[in-house]
Amino acid sequence: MIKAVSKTCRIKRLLQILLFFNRSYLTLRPLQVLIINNHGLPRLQKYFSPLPPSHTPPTLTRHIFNSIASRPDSFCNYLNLHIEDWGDVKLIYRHYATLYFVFAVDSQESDLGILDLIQVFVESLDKCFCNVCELDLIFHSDKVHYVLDEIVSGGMVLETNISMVLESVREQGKLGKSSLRMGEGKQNDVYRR
Amino acid sequence: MQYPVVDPNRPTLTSPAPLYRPLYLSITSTARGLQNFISDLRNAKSKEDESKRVSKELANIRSKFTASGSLSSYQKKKYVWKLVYAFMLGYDVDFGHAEVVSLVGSAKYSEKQVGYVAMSLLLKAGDSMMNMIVNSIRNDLVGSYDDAATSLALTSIANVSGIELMQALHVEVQRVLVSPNATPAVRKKAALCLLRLIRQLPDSIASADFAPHISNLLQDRHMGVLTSTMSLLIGLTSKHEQEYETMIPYAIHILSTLVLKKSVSPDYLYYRTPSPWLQIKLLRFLQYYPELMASGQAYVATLKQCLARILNDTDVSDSINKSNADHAVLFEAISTIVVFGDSGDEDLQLAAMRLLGKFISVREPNIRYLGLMTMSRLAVLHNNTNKEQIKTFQSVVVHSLKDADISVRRRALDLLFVMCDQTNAESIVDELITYLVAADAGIREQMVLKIAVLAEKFATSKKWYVDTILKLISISGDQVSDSIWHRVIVIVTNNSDDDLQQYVATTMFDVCSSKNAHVKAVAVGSYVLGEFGFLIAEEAGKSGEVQFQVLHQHWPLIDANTQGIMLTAFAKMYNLYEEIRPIIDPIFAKLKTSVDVELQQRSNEYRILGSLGPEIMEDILREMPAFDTQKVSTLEIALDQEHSDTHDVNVFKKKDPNSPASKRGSKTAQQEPEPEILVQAEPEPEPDLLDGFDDPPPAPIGGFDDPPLSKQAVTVGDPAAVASSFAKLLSTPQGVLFQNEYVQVGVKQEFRGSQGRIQLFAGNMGAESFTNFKLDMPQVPYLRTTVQDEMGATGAGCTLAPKQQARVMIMAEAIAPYCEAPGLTVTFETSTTTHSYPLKLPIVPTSFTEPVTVDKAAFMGRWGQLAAKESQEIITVSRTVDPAMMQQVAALLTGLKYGRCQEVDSPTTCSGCGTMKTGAKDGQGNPISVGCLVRIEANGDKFRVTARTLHPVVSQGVKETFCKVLKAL
Repeated sequence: MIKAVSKTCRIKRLLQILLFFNRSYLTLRPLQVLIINNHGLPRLQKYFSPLPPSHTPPTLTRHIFNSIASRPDSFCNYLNLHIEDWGDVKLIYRHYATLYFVFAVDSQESDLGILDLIQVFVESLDKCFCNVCELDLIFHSDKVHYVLDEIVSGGMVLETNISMVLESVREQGKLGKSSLRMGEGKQNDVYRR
Repeated sequence: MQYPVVDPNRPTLTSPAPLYRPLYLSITSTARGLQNFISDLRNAKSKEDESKRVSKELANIRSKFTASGSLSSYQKKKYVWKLVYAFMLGYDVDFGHAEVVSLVGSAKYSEKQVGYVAMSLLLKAGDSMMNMIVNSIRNDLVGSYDDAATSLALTSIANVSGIELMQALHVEVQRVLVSPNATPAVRKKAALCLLRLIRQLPDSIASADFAPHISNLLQDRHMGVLTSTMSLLIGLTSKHEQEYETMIPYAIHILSTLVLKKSVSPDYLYYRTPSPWLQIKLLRFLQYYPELMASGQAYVATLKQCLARILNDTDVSDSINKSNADHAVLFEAISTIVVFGDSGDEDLQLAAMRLLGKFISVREPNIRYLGLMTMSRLAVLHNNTNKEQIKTFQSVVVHSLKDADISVRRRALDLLFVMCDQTNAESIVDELITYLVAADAGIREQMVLKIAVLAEKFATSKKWYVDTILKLISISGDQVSDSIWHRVIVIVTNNSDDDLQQYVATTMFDVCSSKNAHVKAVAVGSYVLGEFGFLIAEEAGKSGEVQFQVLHQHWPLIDANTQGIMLTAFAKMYNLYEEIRPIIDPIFAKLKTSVDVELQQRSNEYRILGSLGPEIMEDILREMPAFDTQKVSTLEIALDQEHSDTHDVNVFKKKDPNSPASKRGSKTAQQEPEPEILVQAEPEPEPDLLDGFDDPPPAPIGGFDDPPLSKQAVTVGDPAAVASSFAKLLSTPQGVLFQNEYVQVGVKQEFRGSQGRIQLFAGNMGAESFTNFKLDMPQVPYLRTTVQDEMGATGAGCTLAPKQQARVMIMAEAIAPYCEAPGLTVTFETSTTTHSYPLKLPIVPTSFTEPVTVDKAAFMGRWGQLAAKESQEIITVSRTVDPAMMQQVAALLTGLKYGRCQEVDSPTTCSGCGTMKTGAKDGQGNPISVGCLVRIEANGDKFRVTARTLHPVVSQGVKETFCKVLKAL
């Protein structure tokens, strides 16, 4: 047991606790996930915590895009951004061809770890769609959500293993399919608008 | 380190081509209606076209939803996906929630799946639909044996994280997590769901009971489960580190498996690194136990081995992804070593430092960025040995300050800021100023503030400090905030002993002589020459008249605010030098009709001053007295705000002595008894007391199921115990106000001037729910209060489940002198009994007091004046008063925010002075404050408490407060 807690250490802990009080709202902020194309159009935006009333998802996404898009790719993949009424967020992003993948994070996760997580996300999508491109994300946005749900849950890292992610998504696909077959015999009218 | 060969920016993804083309059936691939909708939107010529198309579609869907007759399952899914898509494009979607709810409740998986995704996007916490959906979710969680449905439910709970959902379902989530039948996929989701939950409701898990479950989970072989469990464990540990100390051996065991044996299923090799995420989490967890290395446990050696292996075996790799993963682990290992500090292994520390030194000089921007960041954490953590080493990197860091990337520049600036001390302040500040000339707007403001703080904090001489600030103004005057130059004035005014004032007057004279002086420099110059110009007026070419001319040449170019300052300077000169009165008079006369009200008023007043006779004028225009240094420098407050913006709750930052709360504590320790921190840190800090109300407390109160140990002492309504808790809270900012086996009421309070913020935490400690739970606070005429209360406990009453906590925030302002503490009645009903506890809130006159330091003469003078308004009482305490007890009394005096006046005290007395602030205004609109003097005299086992204040009611209140506190000693 590590019970040798010195007095200074106790004071330190008290300060820690105090700090917790002051910033408890920050601890609550999980990561946010965005996919934005080179023109600033959102392809996926998932905010896991309520936004302050002064922002809506589109305005915030736009703001984030503007601050990232101006950075050349030779710069580092981190940017601290001040968002009004929300404080500072750290953006960790990667730029792939026509898409920016942006994770806005708090300090609970490792900075480089998130960079890897973005890679996992992209590779999972790539395998899922067989060389993913922007159009896939547009026309199959549901699938993107399912993949993301297997990687990030409630704004926290859930699974980092690509084959595990794909496995789960495939399982769900099968389930969905079989439940469809069971449920509806008349598939014909479904193509009508 | 090479810049990655594989550029993250490559045109296509280079992952190996998949062997299969998985055709998961998804709604979007079959629903032509949806596909058409998306295509239409993509083909829209303009934003208007698009929004027209969306409106049309939304109207169509709305009519479909409201029309009678049921929709087919397929239609429902299709329309809901259209809503989701429109929502994603940024359109407002405020209907269709009922359809989402029905999809969630469906028995078919395909419907459920769509329903849950839509729910987590469209429904927000606090939505009225939430209550309807809870039962469906509960069924999926525990009722069904279907893993897929359980997974969906868990994901959506975590995603939505509404407080209602959490409260309703946290028991079920816990049950799923610890259920032996749960599959890994379900288990890892449950762990994260629970983490989200405890972030929102920290008290929903009884730590003591939960630790064994965690240790079971840590023995799981599934990496995904382990990673999620570690996330959960870190979340739990950050609140109650002692409870989870037993998990350390498990964590180290897993770490050694990954690092030393590299045994992991091939799936979890990420670019040949065994699950970097899990390694990071494990290291993060260990950082919560900084004394770990010194504990002498057997696992310490293993841990040391792991750390050494990570440090030594990390190679530079040509794949950017491999290199990222390895460095992620490496940085975490370095952070861990940093946290262990001197209690850790010295070799490791040196190696870590060497690596960091390497990182901050590589070209790869990410690594450099993280290197700089980690190094600044290191600099704050251990002040001595490491700081010396860090200082050797100064030139490298300065180089990064010139990087093109603002993120890197900011980190470099942060690092320079924390590595600065007396020895290198001048060179660092010089570097920063040189760079400031070329710096762009994005970083200037931050730099200016930091330079100003460094210059003041580590000034080798006051002259250097003033020169530095003047340089700042001349280089980047627009970014120099008022608080920075106000600070210069304060320091110059308060240093009347040496020749600083004369020096500054000369300097300002020279600066203002230039036509191009910055408006802020003119402001400083006006003030300084007005106040101290006479010190140089004898010198050749600097007579009063010349000084006036030097200032007046700027008049047309400066803003009204600065003109006001200059006008005051003119008035002071008017008083001092008779020869320039004829020049100044017309200026005042002209401004009599200025459009600026402030200038108009000043000029009129100053003009008339002259006619009131020399004595009055001299008296009014005398030199300013020294400023009150009791106040925390506004500059530091500004920096605090800056800091708080960038702050997070990483284990480092919590210990960061530069962080606002701790910094203010240490900084002001020499000069100012700031109650907030000092009271905590000084006399016997009681961590348990602190923990008592917000978190399930560790040792003394134990799990919720066991009756608290201290229960015998605090029986229901025991007046002595209630009085003692109350008394304790009078001099401490937080603690438990009342506690028995049913309910615990904690208070956290913070006062500034006439205003206070009081948080009440009332927790249900029993095993059954309370109904009709109420916190009644009768209105009192002397306090203006506003109450924030989410649960309605202060209004109609609410229901409080076991282990649940009601929180109420009260903002109070004293608006009249008073003596009686306001009341608080806690009432609730259990199934068998009705409880009612009348309590008092610890908001007393001394709460609104600010300390005043006076000398003996002033104290005795006022003491005599106030003799008529005295309140006195003699109390008996349990033992004979000895010197140790007198020290406690002195500490109490500080705790109650009185400034001690030691000069008038003998060994058996203790006197203090304070001023009670109220928000009430007097005739002139100034806030009324009540000066208070108090004197405590000991004799045998008796104390005589005497309070003399400007107001008899306050005298009585102050006396009563002190008596209560002394009795509780």
